[in-house]
Amino acid sequence: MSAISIKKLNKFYDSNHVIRDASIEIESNSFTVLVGPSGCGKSTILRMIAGLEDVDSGTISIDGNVVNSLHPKERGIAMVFQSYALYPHMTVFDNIGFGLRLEGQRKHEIEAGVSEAARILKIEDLLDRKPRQLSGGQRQRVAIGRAITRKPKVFLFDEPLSNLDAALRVQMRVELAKLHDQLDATMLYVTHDQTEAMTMADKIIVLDKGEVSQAGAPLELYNSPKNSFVASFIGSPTMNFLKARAVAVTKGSVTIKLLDDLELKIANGDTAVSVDDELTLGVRPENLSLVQAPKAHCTGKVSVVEQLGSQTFLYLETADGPLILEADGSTKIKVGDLAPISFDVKRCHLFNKHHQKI
Amino acid sequence: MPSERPDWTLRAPPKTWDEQLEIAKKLTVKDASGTVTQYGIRIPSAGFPSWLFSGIVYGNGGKITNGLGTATFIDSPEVIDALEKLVALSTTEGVMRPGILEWGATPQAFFEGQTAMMWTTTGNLTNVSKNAPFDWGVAMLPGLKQNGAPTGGGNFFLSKDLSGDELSATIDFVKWISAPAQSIAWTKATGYVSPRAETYETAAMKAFLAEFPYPIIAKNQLQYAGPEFSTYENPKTVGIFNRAIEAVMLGEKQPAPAMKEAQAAIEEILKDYR
Amino acid sequence: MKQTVSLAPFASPFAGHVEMSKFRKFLPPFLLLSPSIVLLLTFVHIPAIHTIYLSFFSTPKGRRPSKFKGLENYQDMIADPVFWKVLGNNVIYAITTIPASIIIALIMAQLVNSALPGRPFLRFSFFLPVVLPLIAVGNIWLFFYLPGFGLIDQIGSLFGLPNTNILGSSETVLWGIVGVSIWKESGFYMIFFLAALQGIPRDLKEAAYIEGASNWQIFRRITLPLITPTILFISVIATINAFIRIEHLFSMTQGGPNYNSALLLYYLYENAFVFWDTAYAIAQSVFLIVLLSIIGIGQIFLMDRRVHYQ
Ligand SMILES: Nc1ncnc2c1ncn2[C@@H]1O[C@H](COP(=O)(O)OP(=O)(O)OP(=O)(O)O)[C@@H](O)[C@H]1O
Ligand SMILES: [Mg+2]
Repeated sequence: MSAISIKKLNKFYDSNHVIRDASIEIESNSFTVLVGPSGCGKSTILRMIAGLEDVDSGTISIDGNVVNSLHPKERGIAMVFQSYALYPHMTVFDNIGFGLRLEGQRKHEIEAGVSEAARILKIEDLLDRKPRQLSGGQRQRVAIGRAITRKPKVFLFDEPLSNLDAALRVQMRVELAKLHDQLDATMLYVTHDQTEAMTMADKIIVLDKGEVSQAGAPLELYNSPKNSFVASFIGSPTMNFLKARAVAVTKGSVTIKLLDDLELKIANGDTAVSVDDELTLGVRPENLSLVQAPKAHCTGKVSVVEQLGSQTFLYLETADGPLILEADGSTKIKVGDLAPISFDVKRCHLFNKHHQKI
Repeated sequence: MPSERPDWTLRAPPKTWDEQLEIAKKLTVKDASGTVTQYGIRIPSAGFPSWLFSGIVYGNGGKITNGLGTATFIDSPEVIDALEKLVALSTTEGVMRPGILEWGATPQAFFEGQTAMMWTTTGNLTNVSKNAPFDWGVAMLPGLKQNGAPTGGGNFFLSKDLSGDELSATIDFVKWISAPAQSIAWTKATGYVSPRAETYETAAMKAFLAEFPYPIIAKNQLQYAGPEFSTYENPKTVGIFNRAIEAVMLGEKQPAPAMKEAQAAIEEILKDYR
Repeated sequence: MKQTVSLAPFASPFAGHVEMSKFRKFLPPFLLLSPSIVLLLTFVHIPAIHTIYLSFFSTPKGRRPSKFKGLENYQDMIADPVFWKVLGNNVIYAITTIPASIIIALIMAQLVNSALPGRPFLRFSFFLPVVLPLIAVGNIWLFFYLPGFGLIDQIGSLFGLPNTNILGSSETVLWGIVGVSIWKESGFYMIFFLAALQGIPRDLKEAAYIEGASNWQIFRRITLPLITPTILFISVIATINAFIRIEHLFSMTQGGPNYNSALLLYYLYENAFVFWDTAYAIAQSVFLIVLLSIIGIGQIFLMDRRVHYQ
């Protein structure tokens, strides 16, 4: 059974339609990531699940019960805010124990709950401090500790790592994943960082302007994006897109012509396509390779070389448009060189003018 | 001067304090629940109750100062008796609203029928004639034993350092401002008494009074008037006197001890000036 | 100050040099501070000390010059029943107006800060008394209080209540003044509370809300602790105001009847500028300065421990 089931959810801010018919299924005990560019409505959905925003139409169910009109505390959820939202005047202990105290728990119960959370998050020695005496990562832990104590069925995270530096973010990602295994609870995690989404999620939901663009396992989205939005959003560096035109259509494949008349034959799916349609070819940097000149589809002039050690990204100018190519870490190629390029046609994607994959 | 509401059969105004009290009783109206809806009389007291009160003292044959500014007689029997009579209006007799009464709101209370008679300054005469929505009249202040009234007004001071042109210009100005032409306009606009007797002999004033005779009553009352309270360190001494009257009107003190205390406090200040 | 610690504790052959560099170190900050130091000395400290000095002399009168009287002015003050009466009035005035206006201000700020319909109108009406001069506010309330036909009596008569003479009776006149002050000051303090409330991140309240806190608990456990610096600030201001804002007395009661509505500063004014007993007024000024200093310092000291500064 789904832990959270959202059906045809809509939300307006005045006349601004920010969530459009969103339907989302989140499995029990999964780590689901809601991802999308800034302003696409991620926080809004999270806040509607939490009960901080009213629902204009549609339903939200948690564990099979419609919670649209329930008070947040009756929904069995806990939320971790991007800003941490720690109570600045309370010690870490009081911050973590606040929810228990509101529930009217006794002193020793609160102490037990707080030390349990502190133990899990390894912040036992911070309990007497005030939030302002903590580092960003420590604050983040306290915020999570506060969420843990009430033993919610569902954790909601709104970009919890975005205020941390890169190294700490990587570390916290691992810790959150561990915590998820440890806690046996459903986690819904909002981010606009696709790396976070890819590394942490059991399931990713991509949101585009208030609509669910695609939902699925990380690799499913990476390998079979349903549309150019998902294709471009998932993956880093982003997928290359080139203008193309269909020149021949057969069952199971389409032959396209690029700007410099290069023809490629690419496998397609079910979406109808006919000769002369304007298409977009999508190819990821790792599906382009440097080859010996005779085998090359085309050549590109190297404008930037980004050396990361294990791999090298080449920024190329070709007659078909700009391309990013992932090469070996040991490549000797330099700026200004002419690079012969080959497309892995089995790994190319075609999108029609409605941005749908064909 | 007391002015009267018309809705009562006695057309003649009261001449003595006793008559005033008797009429005030008749004019005090209560509703079914016993709440007073119209008081018989109103004598304003806010800020400087000693002023109208000195008129009651003169009507009681008393004096408040020695005229030299070096002694006061506010613990005399005439003063204490006058104060008892004044306070009785709002306590034992119940014909006047208790507490301290505002000057500014007094004509308003009269127009609105909250009081049937009022004592007030001559400066209100024109105001009343313009705004009273009923027939009304003016009479001299009724005295306890005889007629009596306070005097008021302002003074022009000539500095002893003035000389030559400045002095003569100053004198010219004082003469001009108190001259009949200015006084008549002043009296017409306000009701105040004109400061020079000759003004009342002018044709213009006679014509005005023929039409609207009430201002003459205040002028005629001057013959019974006594001087305003004035001593050395006047703000302080008159303040003591005023606060003592207020204390009695508020029910905080009894007339005799209040006046004796005030007299003693003023003595303490004035003894240095004898 | 830390830099000066490097001065050697023994007589150094370079002592003169060190003195020089110390002087150099202090000169620029001193120069930068000097305009405000000069202004403060000229207009605050020197007059204050001079006032204390003058309080030991008698008032010059006519041909009698001022002469040294020692503590006599202060003895007169202690022996003056009116002084004690107005001091008592002022204490009552302070302990009623301060909490009342702070509480009302906080309630108004909460109302204005919430998503009520007609918020701009509320904001405007709460703020209106602030822009009116206190002396004009006094005049307005004079009409509210008029016996018989004032607003209060007219409303009262709708409910069959008897007429009042609020400013004309000793029992009620001070409360009349207290009411005006609360009406006037609450709007002013509301502005500060509003700023403080808007400075509290919305996340904090939402976090508490999700954790199951009721509106009252959010107010009591989150909002209130976070605005304690503002409460402290306002209570200092309010306390000072309770002793120095007396304009409404001029337009309403002149401290009367019989000093029942007089406050300390009004009596001081009367002594200084009506009775021209300046020596006595100066002694009262010294008393007022000392009193306010003690209250101000005490308040900050007392509340400092319980105030949460972010
Ligand atoms: N309280 C509000 N009133 C009006 N519009 C709002 C409000 N909150 C959000 N919006 C609008 O709704 C849309 C979605 O906002 P939301 O905060 O959900 O975006 P987001 O996906 O969380 O973005 P980010 O990654 O920047 O946090 C935005 O266009 C935003 O401007
Ligand atoms: Mg957001």
